[in-house]
Amino acid sequence: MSSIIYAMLDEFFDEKCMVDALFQIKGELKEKLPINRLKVIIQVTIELIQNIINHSNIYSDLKEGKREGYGNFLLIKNGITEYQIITSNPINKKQKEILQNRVNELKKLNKSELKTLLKERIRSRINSHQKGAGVGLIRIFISSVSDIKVDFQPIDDEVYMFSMEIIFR
Amino acid sequence: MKNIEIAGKDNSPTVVLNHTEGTIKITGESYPENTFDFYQPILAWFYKYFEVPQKITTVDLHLLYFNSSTVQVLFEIFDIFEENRDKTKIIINWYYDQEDSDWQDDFDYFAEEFELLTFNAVGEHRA
Repeated sequence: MSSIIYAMLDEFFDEKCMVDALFQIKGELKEKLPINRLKVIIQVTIELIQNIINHSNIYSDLKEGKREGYGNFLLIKNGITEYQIITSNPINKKQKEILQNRVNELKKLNKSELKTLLKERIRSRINSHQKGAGVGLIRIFISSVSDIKVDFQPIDDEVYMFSMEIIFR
Repeated sequence: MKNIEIAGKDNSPTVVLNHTEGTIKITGESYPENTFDFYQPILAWFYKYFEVPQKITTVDLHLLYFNSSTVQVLFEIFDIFEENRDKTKIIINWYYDQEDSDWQDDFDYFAEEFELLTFNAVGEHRA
């Protein structure tokens, strides 16, 4: 049996939405999960919602250089011990190609290799002052204890719905 | 040199930087949307502090949830500490929740990367 812990569907996400989502998720799970399991779910939620805010192809610019991005977020409890997060947001063709390559690269690596890659990417970002070198995605792969499902559903020739499904056991 | 105190919010930590006492405290959760903007004055303070540091610099880090941009900022902070380790004795206290059985993952990650620095793991009970 599955139950919804938190859902934000067909919505625009901004910083306040993320804080509210995390507050509710922590409140719901704090007494039910040991801190190490809760921490993984929270950290991954942070990365995923910030991904929607920063990289959704449908977005609005807000004050102080902030953004809101369109997407979906769903946290489900399956059975007694399993939790699942599903997120999606639209991206353009170029973003899809970059993401697909990154995901394919990350899927080949074990945890130790992912941690090494994370350090390399952080170092390259510091040295070149780049943003978005896939550091958040690597952290998600490090945090996950099972395979991560990634999908790109075409909406039209230029836009795809990027979705991720992560299971926590 | 001015001391800095930044009040914590839901997604950004309390930061207390005290030159007179040689103490640096970062406590709370860290996932502000514009993480680099948030930490920019803090990094600037570190550069200024290490021009004339105290003999002993005590760093207390209590971070539970943080985003990937914060990890990058922590790398930058520890880089600054490594570059200045000969000017002051730097003591880094890494606080963790005693109930978090995976606390050592984050601790080792930084301690191994910055092996020229000394990290102390300090367990605490968080409500």
